[in-house]
Amino acid sequence: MNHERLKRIIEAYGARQENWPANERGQAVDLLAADEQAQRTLAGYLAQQRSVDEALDALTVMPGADLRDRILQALPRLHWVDRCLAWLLPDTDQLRQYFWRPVLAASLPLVTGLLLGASTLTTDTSFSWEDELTLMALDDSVMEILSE
Amino acid sequence: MHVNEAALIARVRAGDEAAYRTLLDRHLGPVTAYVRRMMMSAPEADDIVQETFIRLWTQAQRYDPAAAKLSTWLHNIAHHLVIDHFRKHGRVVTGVADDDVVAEDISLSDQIVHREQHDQMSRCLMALPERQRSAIVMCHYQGMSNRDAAVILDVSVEALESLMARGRRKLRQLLAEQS
Repeated sequence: MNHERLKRIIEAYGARQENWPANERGQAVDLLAADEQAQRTLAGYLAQQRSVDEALDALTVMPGADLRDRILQALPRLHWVDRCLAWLLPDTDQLRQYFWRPVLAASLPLVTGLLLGASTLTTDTSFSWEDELTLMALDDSVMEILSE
Repeated sequence: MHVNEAALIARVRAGDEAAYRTLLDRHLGPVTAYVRRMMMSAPEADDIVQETFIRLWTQAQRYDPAAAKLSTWLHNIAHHLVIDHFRKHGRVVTGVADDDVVAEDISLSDQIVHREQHDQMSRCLMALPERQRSAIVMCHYQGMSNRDAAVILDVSVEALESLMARGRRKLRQLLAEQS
């Protein structure tokens, strides 16, 4: 920090120390407090910029009373498919926290297949035994024909 | 960034309106102040603020918490909407909104003085080139760091400081002429 840099800071950010760059504020404040030459040289700049700061302060604004409600009413409703996709497939920065979601999404076809298979599996084995016996009988007759 | 802002954004991405309302309440005031000071026209400024926060709802997946603070991201959207508006419609000052000017708990004479100072400052600020005005509004009023403001204006910190210094010099000159 030197006089020239301190002058540039005052010209850009004004006279208020709280508006000076955070990474240089300490050094700038110390220089201004300790260096009498800096105080003399920069007193005029500080006074000029103080008047600009005060003039800027006159421009106050307040948020509109109904703006919040207006924004909420104007929100487009997200389709449930989009919500499901957004939940199942988090962004890369969220992937570590929610890694199980894409895993769940990837395993859904497997789970669906298992459920479908389980629900269509027949428990009545009588037909299959009859088929088996028929096949065995056919095998015997074929063997007899072959042996003759 | 607020402690749970990343979590709130994740919920907004999944369509959680309660999380969205929390973020809206947190950022509506600063973003509105920025846009109104840039435009000096309350109805048009409110349209831009509305569009900014609708993008928070519809494009939350584009926000990267590691790259910027949410307030910087929202100011960036608002800033570019303002610039687009000026390009399309020109820089028209339709007047200052009454609800921006004075608090009602001060005397009438103080209200008149405050109103005059407010109008004078709004005229001077609107006379500045857009980039100088943006730089001053972001750093003086919004309390934004020089790095965040430089990112939004897509310039180096040195160039941002140059914009602010030239803007403040011009403001001083305009104020002197008017008084």
